[in-house]
Amino acid sequence: MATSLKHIWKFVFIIAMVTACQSEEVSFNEHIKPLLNKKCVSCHGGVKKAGGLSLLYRDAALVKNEKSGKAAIVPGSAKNSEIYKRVVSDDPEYMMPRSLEHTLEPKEVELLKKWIDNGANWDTHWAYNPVEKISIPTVDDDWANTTIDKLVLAQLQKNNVAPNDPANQADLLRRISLDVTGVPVFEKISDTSYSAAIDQLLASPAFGEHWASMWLDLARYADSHGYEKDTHRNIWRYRDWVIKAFNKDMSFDEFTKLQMAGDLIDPNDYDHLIATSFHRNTMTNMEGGTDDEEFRVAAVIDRLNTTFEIWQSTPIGCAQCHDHPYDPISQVEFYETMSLFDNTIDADLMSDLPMLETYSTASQEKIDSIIQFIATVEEKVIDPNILDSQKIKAALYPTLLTMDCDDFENVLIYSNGIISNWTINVNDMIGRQFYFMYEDVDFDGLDSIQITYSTKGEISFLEGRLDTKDGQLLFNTGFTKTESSSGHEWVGDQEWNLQTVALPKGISGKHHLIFEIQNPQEIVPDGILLFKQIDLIYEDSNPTDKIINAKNELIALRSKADKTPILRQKLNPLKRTSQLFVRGNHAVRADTVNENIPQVLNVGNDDINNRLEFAEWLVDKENPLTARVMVNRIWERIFGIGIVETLEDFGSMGELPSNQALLDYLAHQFMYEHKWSIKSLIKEILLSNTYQQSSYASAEKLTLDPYNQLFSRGPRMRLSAEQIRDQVLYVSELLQDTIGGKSVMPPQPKDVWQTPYNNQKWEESEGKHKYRRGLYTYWKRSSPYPSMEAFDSPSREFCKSRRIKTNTPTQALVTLNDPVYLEAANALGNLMQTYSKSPEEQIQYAFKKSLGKECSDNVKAALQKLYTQAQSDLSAAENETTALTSPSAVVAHAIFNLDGFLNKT
Amino acid sequence: MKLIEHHNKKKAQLETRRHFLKECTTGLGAMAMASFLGCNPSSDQFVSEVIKQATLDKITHFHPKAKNVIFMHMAGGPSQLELFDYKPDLAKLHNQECPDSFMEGKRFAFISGRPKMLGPKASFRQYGQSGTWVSDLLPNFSTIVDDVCILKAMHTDEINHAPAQLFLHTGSARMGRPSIGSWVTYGLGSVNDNLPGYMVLLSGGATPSAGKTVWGNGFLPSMYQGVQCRSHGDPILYLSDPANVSRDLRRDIIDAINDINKEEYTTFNDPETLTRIEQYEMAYKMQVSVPEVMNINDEPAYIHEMYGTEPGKESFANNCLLARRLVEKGVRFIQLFHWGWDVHGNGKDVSLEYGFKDRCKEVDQAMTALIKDLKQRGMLDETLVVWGGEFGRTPMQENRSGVDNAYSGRDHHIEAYTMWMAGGGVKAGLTYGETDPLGYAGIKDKVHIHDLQATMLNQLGLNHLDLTYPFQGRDYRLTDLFGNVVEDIIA
Repeated sequence: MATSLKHIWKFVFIIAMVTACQSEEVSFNEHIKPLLNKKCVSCHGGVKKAGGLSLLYRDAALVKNEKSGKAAIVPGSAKNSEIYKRVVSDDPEYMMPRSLEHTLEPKEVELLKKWIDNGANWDTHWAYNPVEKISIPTVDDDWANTTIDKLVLAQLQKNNVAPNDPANQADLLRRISLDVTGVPVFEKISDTSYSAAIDQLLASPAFGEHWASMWLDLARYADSHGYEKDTHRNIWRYRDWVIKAFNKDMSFDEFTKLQMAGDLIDPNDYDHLIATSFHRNTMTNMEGGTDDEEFRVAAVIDRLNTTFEIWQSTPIGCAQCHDHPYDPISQVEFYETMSLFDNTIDADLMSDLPMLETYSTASQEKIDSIIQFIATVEEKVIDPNILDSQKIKAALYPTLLTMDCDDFENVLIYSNGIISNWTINVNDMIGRQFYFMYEDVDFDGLDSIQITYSTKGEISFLEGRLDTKDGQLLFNTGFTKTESSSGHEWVGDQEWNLQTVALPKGISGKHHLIFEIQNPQEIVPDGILLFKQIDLIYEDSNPTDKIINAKNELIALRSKADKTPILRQKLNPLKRTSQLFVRGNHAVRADTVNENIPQVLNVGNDDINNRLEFAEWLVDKENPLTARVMVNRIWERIFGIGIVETLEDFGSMGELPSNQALLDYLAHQFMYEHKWSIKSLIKEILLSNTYQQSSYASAEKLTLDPYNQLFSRGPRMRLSAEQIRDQVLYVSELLQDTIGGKSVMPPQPKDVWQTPYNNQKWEESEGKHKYRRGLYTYWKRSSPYPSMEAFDSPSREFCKSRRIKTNTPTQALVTLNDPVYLEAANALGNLMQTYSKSPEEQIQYAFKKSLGKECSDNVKAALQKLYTQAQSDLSAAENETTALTSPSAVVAHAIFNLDGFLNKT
Repeated sequence: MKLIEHHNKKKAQLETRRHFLKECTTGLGAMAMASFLGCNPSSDQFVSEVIKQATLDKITHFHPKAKNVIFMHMAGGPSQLELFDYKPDLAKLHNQECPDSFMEGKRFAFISGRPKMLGPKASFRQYGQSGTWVSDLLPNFSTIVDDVCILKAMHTDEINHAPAQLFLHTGSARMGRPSIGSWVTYGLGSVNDNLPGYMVLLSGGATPSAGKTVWGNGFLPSMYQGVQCRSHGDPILYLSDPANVSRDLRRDIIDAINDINKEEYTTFNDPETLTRIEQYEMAYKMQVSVPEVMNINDEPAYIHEMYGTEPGKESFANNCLLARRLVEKGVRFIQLFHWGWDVHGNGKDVSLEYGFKDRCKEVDQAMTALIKDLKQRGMLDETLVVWGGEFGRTPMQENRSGVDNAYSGRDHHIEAYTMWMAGGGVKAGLTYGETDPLGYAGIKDKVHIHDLQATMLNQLGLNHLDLTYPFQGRDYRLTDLFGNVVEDIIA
């Protein structure tokens, strides 16, 4: 096949070159860069630099080669350029490319020559040019009502294609219902203008649910941890945050900043913190014996790759192991950018820390009153504006729970305390150090500390330090073993011992208190230490029983909190040093790197030192990619194909925009006119005549514009997995429209869930929760909901820009036989029978309810025939959940399987 | 049918350059393409050629020895030291502390401190013309040693189950890459349009640690995903019609749907509508063909006896028999998963004394019967059978958290373990590779996971270097950047 592929490339190039030569100009981006990428860069690029030559940067291609003393490219003179001389040579020792299959076609040689002779202009890649206001072409046609239409029509005229007639009213209403809200709510649109109808739909809370599902694919949101056991992760509040953000039309720049760095903007704002759960959607590995650091790093790399895919459509991941082969991003730049994400506290822990705690109203009231009581008795001032967990921490002070430590390194944290990470996989731990720390400990009058611990041996130590890892030594203490701690099970109740250590005198003011656990003999399990809490003993401290009881009650209430994983920045004493990984291997670390972003994207030459500055750079209006990338995503969601087809790659290996003026216009409009409002952008698109065209694809258009990349017709595409489910539930009036909350488990065949060592069961949701929208379905990465998986919903291990739509027999089996679809058909069947006794009227009613239009005579005849056949052939239903209950239900069932129903038309 | 022909033509016209390159190129013959260089891509001649070449049975890179694969994965990692890799010296060192060199700079999943050596918990004899060593735990397998090729110096990179299983099945320890079965069906297409090209059978109990991603399509289109056949309920999800819908009525329903869809096609002229019509027909056919092939009741008694099958039961034996039936129907890649081989010795069911022996009994007779059956039907030559775990086991007794376990068990081991292959153009009666006297590391003819993958593709006529798919800016392949075909074992 090697040969066959190469032949195809040749063939492709002929086509490409024929087009190219028709226009006189040679464009670097359109002609030369793709040529270099395909035929040269695999040996002379970012990875291999054969003969010391890389063709990624102009400077490098123009300098004289160290060995040969010749320059690959001499601008203005092809005949003096080594690259040209070698390309036209027949000498097997000299000619380039070496591999015959890469040999340039005569037309390519011609292009190369012309380009060098014209000065070898090395244009900036199109997507890296700033977004500028474009001049709107004057198009002499009434059809071109809006700017979008003018830009589309200009392109159509160039290609001698005319736009389609408008879609009929019924199809259009169904189209906007599905595009804006995801559900066919057309019958609820009150009699009004087209523009007002769009406003009505945009105001519906269903809008946020529909558009959230697009974002959740990007954010790789799921209800499970991913690897191996793939246990439950409680992160649904993030999903709800996204829905809310879309519904209140949060501007996209704020939407970006909160997800990227909400914790740095306001560490006490619940919504800001929940937004940062965005980057806690990375997978966590809970398999025994795995190295947490390895998977922490994997998560950090995923955060970097995901961020660049979502906002920049730049596949930066290539640069993890070596310089980017095609695009100008170096390996060092990859690690510099990664270091922006490297200093959050989370560390692939089983406990998923750090977490944001939320309480039920009842617990909340109790907690408030206990805190009030403690504050009064102990004369404490507790800031009312901090998070509840922080208030509790302040109330418990001077008792410090280990699970409340402010930062840590390499230790494990269970619900009952902190443990040195010497449990299993010991070899990974050798040479590592184990810390946990508290910030702002008041040393005035601090006499000693009392440690609550458990251990099986007497060989490990705890060391206390002031302010930094190597600050003043406060104490170093060993421990007596606690006889009853059993096996290697460290969770649950232990026998706790107390150990009191005195602190040196003369330290005053507030300081960080840093603990290091030492296991000098590297022996397990005797060397393992488990700490439950640290009590600071002040000279005057003498807590009453009442206070002790109140604090214990507070600790008990706290354990009932609903916890969501969030981002939090590491504190300075335990800040990580980011290094370059040799060949991308985290275990082999080289030079230290500092926070930065790739130079090629840093248009403003900004100094970027943390996630917040990074987020601000992402949504800076000078960033050439963010707005283009986002409008392209929204356009694709509506038209089925992006203006840049490769949503995920705007780099030189991605596709060029099919209509760059249109893309740039929308990007400019999005930032400056719509002020990053997604609703306004969607409305502008929906108001265009381009969008309102009929989706009929004439034979001519199938030839001239097969994928509708010129937008010569309205969009026609299969609905998404979620929409297909939501639609039947909606039409059969089963859909429960509650917004948000924990994920639900609608009916799923038995035995689909069989995860090893994981007792979690699929417990069918009760009552109306069976009928929630698809986006609320429990999303287990290793075992996705089968009927949605069949319709291409991704497993969400990684960011997914596009769902490639397939058309398979398994999809037919889902809508034909899944009990969820049978139940909906039966429900619609019942509605039909309530509506009328006449089969004909029932059919008309059901068809209109489902598709928003009258059925044609042929359709009616086909369904009437089916109704009659069902009357005689349908057996009695023994179990309604696996049967169709009436001939009306059979008709409804057929409608649910129609192409017109499964598609947006 | 006219409609469908029309559609195929239309659809092929739509195979634009990009789509074409990304999704259809793999099987295209060089000659076919070469003759079209310079042709108008929408000409009828081009179109018919594209249909012929790009759809079903695709052309390989070179002449294939095997047409089908049965990959029997023993999840958990069976101990090679109790089955194939006979180490008398290890018995002599039983219960002695393991040498420093076994521990220094090495990684284990659970062993800590200084473990003791563990002598083989089985006795070995030589069998067949080839004189192959096999343990007494595999009495049936010992009768087919002259038909198989045993790879004794396999090694892998991953020490934990999930990453190691992903590594074996997708060439990468991270999730998101296509499985080998997806690569194969992507490269070769299917020869049976009533059955999926890639089918997966589980012995019951749990899915592998790495979850369904081990038969996932990764970044390849979802039609290349493995289809899991289940032993209980519908063999394929949602295959059964509603209980009160007869076959005739199902036909009527599909006729009504397709009639209306034809009208839809005339209204919008969307080629996808025609594909949908076709897919409903295929679904209708699958409803018969899948249960038919999955129903082993019609097999004669001697076959059931040979495999040890019990119809209706969820067992490895049933799956072995099903694998043969699927190969007969032309299913390209059949993946069997057995589980419970993770014998650490920290419980009775995961000990070499008990659980391990049960596992051996569960697989020995059936896998032997499968080889014999394929052979007697003349199918072994064209069917590549591969057997093995994601890694092997240590020559040391596991001492979890430094404490001795109550039963005998071994920890995960990546440096040396055994797999075997049969049929599909692989040398029969060969033992390839050698480990040191304690079975710790390979010392001769080592085979890495990527080499195994390259060799499997090679037997199917696919060059692992050329079977690529563009994703995130580069061309990915199953063997990542590595892999060499093990020429020595090819017949």
